[in-house]
Amino acid sequence: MNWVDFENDLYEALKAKVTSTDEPAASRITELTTLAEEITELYHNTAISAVESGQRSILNKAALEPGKAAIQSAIVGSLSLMYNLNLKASIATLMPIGLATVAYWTPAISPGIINPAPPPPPLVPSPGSTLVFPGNPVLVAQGFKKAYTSYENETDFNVSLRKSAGDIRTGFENHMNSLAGLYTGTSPVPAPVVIPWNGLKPV
Amino acid sequence: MTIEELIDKWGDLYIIESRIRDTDYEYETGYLERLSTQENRFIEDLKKALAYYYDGGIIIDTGNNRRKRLSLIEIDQYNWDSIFIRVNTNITSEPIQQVKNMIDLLKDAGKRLRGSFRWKLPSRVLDVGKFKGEFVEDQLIPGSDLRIKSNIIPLDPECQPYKNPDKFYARTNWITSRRRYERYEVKEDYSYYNYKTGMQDIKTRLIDRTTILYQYRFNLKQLAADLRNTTNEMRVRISGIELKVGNLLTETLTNDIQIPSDPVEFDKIVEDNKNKTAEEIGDTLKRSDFRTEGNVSKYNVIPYENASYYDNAFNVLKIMYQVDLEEASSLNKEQSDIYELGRL
Repeated sequence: MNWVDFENDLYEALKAKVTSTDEPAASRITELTTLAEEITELYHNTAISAVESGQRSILNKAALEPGKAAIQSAIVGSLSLMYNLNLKASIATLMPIGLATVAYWTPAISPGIINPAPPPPPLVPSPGSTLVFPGNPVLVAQGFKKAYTSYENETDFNVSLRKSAGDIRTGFENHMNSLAGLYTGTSPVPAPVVIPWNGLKPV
Repeated sequence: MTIEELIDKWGDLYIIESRIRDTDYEYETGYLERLSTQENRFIEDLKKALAYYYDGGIIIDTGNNRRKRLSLIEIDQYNWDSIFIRVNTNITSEPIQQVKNMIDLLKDAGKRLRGSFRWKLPSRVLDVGKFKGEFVEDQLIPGSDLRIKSNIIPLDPECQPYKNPDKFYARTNWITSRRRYERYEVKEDYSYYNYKTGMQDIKTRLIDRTTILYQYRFNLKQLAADLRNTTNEMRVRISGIELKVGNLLTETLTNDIQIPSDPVEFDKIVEDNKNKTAEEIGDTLKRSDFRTEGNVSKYNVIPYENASYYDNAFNVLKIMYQVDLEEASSLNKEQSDIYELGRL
């Protein structure tokens, strides 16, 4: 799944959860848990489709599964805080979603989660591609904040939902671009060689 | 004892020389069996100065007029034992051999020392999960923190003293030996034959003799220069992950919109997620806190915005003596203040 598909599917999910057209887009969502589950699943499907800048894909997709629960609970927790306490969206209240997204990626710090192939010639993987920086969590929080604060005066409901979906996508996408890792291999000499990479993109 | 104090006490040049023991009226010469008290004191002071010189923290040049102090955390005790205790065990043996032993040990000292230096950065060690033992270091790089796999900073294998370990003590320059010949006279008792009386009284006569004197010259001024030159060629290599510190983001929290009614409960959610990450990666936020000043509450967050591989070698500017530690401490504090002002 790529980011365009993510945004389109999220837009459909947001639209399906709407119960009234009289309220601002952010407060129309009633089934937070279901929505959180859908957002998380979309994100996971996008994430496991990603390749790092050396075109190495996610090899062990199951290793990222446990991180879904953290994202889902963070979305529910943050949005519940906003709705239950009548708070406006803020970085402060949405930061747990960003931190959970960071936590989602931490298994990739271990070797074998990201495919060690193809190695940059003439290196032999040792151990290969690993994550060293799980991203900037603020970027995710900023995406959600913009989605939940920018379109209260938007007259076209579908447009506001589309923009909200786009903002959430942008937050996740910016975060995924901020991931950084290393490719560690051995040259025929032999000597260890470390090659940095930056960002993952779903393909 | 510093090398400067050694020079103040013993002068620029100190000479130990084998000498002849000569007893009057006896046919006996030989070398002294031990060093004089003064020579022994010189050797002891020299050992202290040599050990002291490398036994301390270092100041490194981190560029942009910034300096950083690294503390010495360990040095392989075996090496020091090899160099100095072995000399001590021979202290009562034949003196020139003793000096020779010391020179031989110094020949090996550099090779043994080069791999044994270990320094550490002033740091905040994180002790969570798999991240145990790793740490994030402030201020080595302006605007970045550095996550280092090991808190041990070794001597850079590419620096000259590492490649050419003899440089550590550059012994050939500051210890020289020479031989000289010296004539001396001994008194010899002898008896002579008188044709009238047969064997007669014992008489004494002077006999010319020549001996070789071995001289060891300790050029302490040259030693000081060699040590300084070696220091200037020393480097330490630091590698890790550089975490680029992002901008401070502040949200003013007002009663009706943003502040969670129970910040403690909210903090738990934040901390829970941070802890999940910390086990694997350490801190993911440089700073995250709620602060209330008067009636205004603010949420402040400084994220790490990206990361890159870091590998750099730094010149060693100075070996720290203990007396310098206070100076270094104030140096670090001053830089810390500058950094905080610049960032915030």
